Formats: sequence, structure tokens, C-alpha cells
Amino acid sequence: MHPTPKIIGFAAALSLLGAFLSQEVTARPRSQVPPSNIYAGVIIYDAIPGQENALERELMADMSSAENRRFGIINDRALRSVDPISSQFATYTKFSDAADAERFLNARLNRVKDYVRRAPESHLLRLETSYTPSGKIGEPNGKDFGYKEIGQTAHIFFGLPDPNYGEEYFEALADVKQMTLRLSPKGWLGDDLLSSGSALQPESLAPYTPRPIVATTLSTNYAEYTSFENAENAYLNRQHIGDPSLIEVQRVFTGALQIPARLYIFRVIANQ
Amino acid sequence: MEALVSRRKIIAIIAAFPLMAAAARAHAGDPSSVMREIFAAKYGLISYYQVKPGREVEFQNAFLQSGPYNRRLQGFANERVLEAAAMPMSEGQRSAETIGQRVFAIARTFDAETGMFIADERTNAIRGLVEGDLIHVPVTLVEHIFSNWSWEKSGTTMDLTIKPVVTAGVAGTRSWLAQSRDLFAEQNVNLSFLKDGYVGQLGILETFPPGSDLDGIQNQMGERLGLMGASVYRASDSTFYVYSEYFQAPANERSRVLKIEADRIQGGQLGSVVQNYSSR
Repeated sequence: MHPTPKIIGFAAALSLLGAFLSQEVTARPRSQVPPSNIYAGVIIYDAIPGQENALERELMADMSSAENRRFGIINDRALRSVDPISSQFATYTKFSDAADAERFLNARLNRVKDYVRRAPESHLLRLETSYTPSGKIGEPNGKDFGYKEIGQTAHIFFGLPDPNYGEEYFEALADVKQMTLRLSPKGWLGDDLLSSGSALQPESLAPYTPRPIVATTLSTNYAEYTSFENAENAYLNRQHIGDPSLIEVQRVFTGALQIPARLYIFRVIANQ
Repeated sequence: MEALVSRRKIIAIIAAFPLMAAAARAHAGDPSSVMREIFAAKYGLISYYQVKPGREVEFQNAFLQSGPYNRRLQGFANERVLEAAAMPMSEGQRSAETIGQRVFAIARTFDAETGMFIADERTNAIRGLVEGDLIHVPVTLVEHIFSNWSWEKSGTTMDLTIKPVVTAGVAGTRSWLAQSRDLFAEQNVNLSFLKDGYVGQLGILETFPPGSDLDGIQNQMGERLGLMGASVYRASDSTFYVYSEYFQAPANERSRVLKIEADRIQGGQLGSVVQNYSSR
């Protein structure tokens, strides 16, 4: 009996997580990667039509304190599309150890396999910096904003820069977050900046969407606002603060992306 | 000279007053150039593809790499690519496997030529990945429709903002670009429809026969409480093509299906936005 495409997909997803710990691809290193010992699993799930509620229940299931300790879980957020008829979900889970994170995420992927139409896109990343209205946090603890709150809007951004311009890209991203910090927009809860740390192969970086040409570092921005309207206003107000350097930052940032950025919008439905 | 400077200062102060008063306003001032370009692009190309089973990801990749993301074209503003929702044959894995096999795209351009140029440039890259003909319908923009934030604010009323295309130089009308400035300064209008980068939201492409009443189309959009925005286009045979996106799509639209008959698109189709980009 041949393995089904779905099983193969799951095997691929699990191996992607494993790849995080054994990188062989290299790219031009960033000169200053913020130190952090916090890891985060970001997973996007597409439910089989009709299985949305079953998937939601699984992702929202309470975790025991023993389970939290066993896997070094700092925080686990379950997210659902703001659109009730969409079948898209996500989880954003922070851990204190990469190997524990991989074991937990593999187990979770296994638990949901009957509810999803394809192997979920899964990334294990390192949390580098957090920004909250109180300031920039160089050594985040993983509970720096929105901890245990539900109902807020969550944004997950994936960016795949050309490694030759990775340094400039990450600097531009940090500049934009500094701008957010300076403006402290209404309803802003916080931003996490994360990355894969080193370059990964294109297939693992974008399994279902256009792929970058060359291996690169995955850049992810997780942000929360109290409402979608506040999130949009924060973006719009940033566009006209009268600073010409904003144009430069935007051009550097977007110009360095090998493929278009993806920005998913969700609502936090569980947070433990 | 001094009087002139003083006068300018006064004018500047007067001009600044509305801005100062609007410090808390959401959309005061200029939004990003990308949003303005998406608003201002008066032409479009609507395309439909039947992707070969098993080639869905390859198609998405080839579609992007052979398109205008890496080939800057002055006439190109934005493209949305949607994968049609599961075929309504049944719920479950069998219908889910059809996702990604019916793809439609809306390219927004500043002239009629750019859309067809993009389609031509792409043909060789995607030809082997699709079944049947490549369907392209050039269209011109009639109007944009924007909703407010009522979907998110319980107890508030849905209100549409209609922006019909104006022709430059017609007496008594403000230019199209000036209208974008007006729009961006209006209160309680959501502009998410004009943002590039957003993916995962649901959109609908649907047709209305020649002679359809624009008020009727607007009324229909106004009944969809989770509407983000819509663009109404007209094709050369006077068929209206309406592309809309949603924060919360109408559930009763799930069962509609686009039909292709003699290279014409008819009906309606819900899909998920998987690409939403402007040139880098």
C-alpha cells in the first residue's frame, strides 16, 4: 500500500520541524541577532469543510500544568479567522526549549490530522524581540503582551527576504516597529519579531504558496490589536507622519522580499 | 514679501486646523502610495484557470514568478489570486481536494494594455499546468464600494461609501485621485480592501448581465454585512463583473459556482485570497 499524499505531507511537515535543529544551508549572517532562548511554533491549519468545530475544539483544549511543564510551554494561543465561514485556524505557541517544542508540535500535528485538508504549514522560530506600549523588550519572556486575553485581533506576517539583503530587511523591519512604538497607536497590544535564525530551503518556507528562489531566513511578525479597525488605523496613520525616511524604509523592506509578504488576520480564541 | 509670508502662514495655520482637529481621526492625511494605486487603477483583467489536479502549488509558484512582481510595469497596480472554495459536491476530504484547482485572478491596471501583456507573458509558464483554455476578460472600472466597521461594532449600522469613476476634465467633478484623498480622510470607512499583503480572507467574483442596475448591485452588496469592499467593472459586452472581499462572507454564497461558456464567465464564486501583491 502506498502512503497517501496527506500522510506524505504530514511527514514533510514533521521533517521541517526537525530541519530547524540541523541547518546546513547558510546565508549572509545578520550581524546582530538578538539573543533569546524562547522558541515559538507558528502553524496555519486549513480545516476540511465540515470539520471546523472539531479542529477548533482540539486547538482550544485545556492543557494541564503537567503538560506545560513537560513541554516547556510558556504560552499557547489558538487563533481562528475573523470570518466564521473560513476554514483557517492558527496556533502561536511559545516554549523554553526547541527540542521540547518540536515534540509538542509534532504531537499536535498528529492529533489534528483527521480534521485538516492538508498538512498544516508549520514553522519553529526563535522569538527575538517584543514591542509593547511600554517599550522595546530585548529579552522577552513570552508573556509580554495579551497574555491570557481572548477576543483581540492577531496578525501573522511572513516575510522571506533575499539573503543578500537580509541585513537591510531586518533593520527596516526593526525601524518600522520602532515607529509603532513611537506612535503607540490606539488599541495596540504588542508585536513579536521572530525568525528561523538561519536559512531554510524554499519548500519548507512556503509549502503552499509561491516559493522564494533561494534558501533564506523566515521572518515572522506576530502582532495583536484590540480590534481590526485599530490595526488598520495604526497602519494608515503610520503612512503619513510626514517623514520621508518612511518611504525609504518601505522600499528597502518590500524590495528585499523574494516573494510577496503574507499577512493573515485572526482572532484569538484561546490563550493559556 | 513679508506680507506674503504672513499670509502664507495664516493660510497654513487655517489649513492645519482641520488636521489638528482630526488628530484622532483614523484616516487623516495621505495613506500609502500602494493603496492609492489600487484605488486609482481604472482597468482590470479577470482571469480564470482550471488547474490540473496535483499541480496546484506549482501553478501558484509559476503564476507569481512569471507575473509583474519581479517585472515592474508602470501600468500595474495590484493582483489578487483566489482559490475557489471546495466544490459543493459534499462536505469532507473529497470536496476539499478540489481546492486550488479552480483559480481566478483580478489584476488592477492603469491601462487596458498592461493586463493583456501580463497574461501573454505568463502563458508559457502556466500553460502546462492548466486544463482547457486560459480565460481572460478585460474590464474597466465603474465604481468602488467600501463598507464601514459595523461588522466589528455591534449595534452600529452598515454604511456604504460609493466612489464612481470620474473622467478627468469634466466640469464640476473632482479628479479621481482627489477622490482617493477624500476617501482616505473620511471617518468610519474601512480601507482594508485596498491593502496589499492581506491573504486568507474570502472574496467573491460574480457577474451581472448587461443592463443591470447599479443601484441594485449596490443594494446587494449592502445586504452583505461583513463586506470589506467591492469593485464593479464592466466588460466590452456590458456584462458587469463585481469583485468583493469580506471580513465575514455571506454563508449563502458558498454554493455558487462560476460557469465558463464560450470563453465567457457567468455566475458567482467564493474563494480564498492566496496572493495579494503589487510589484516590489
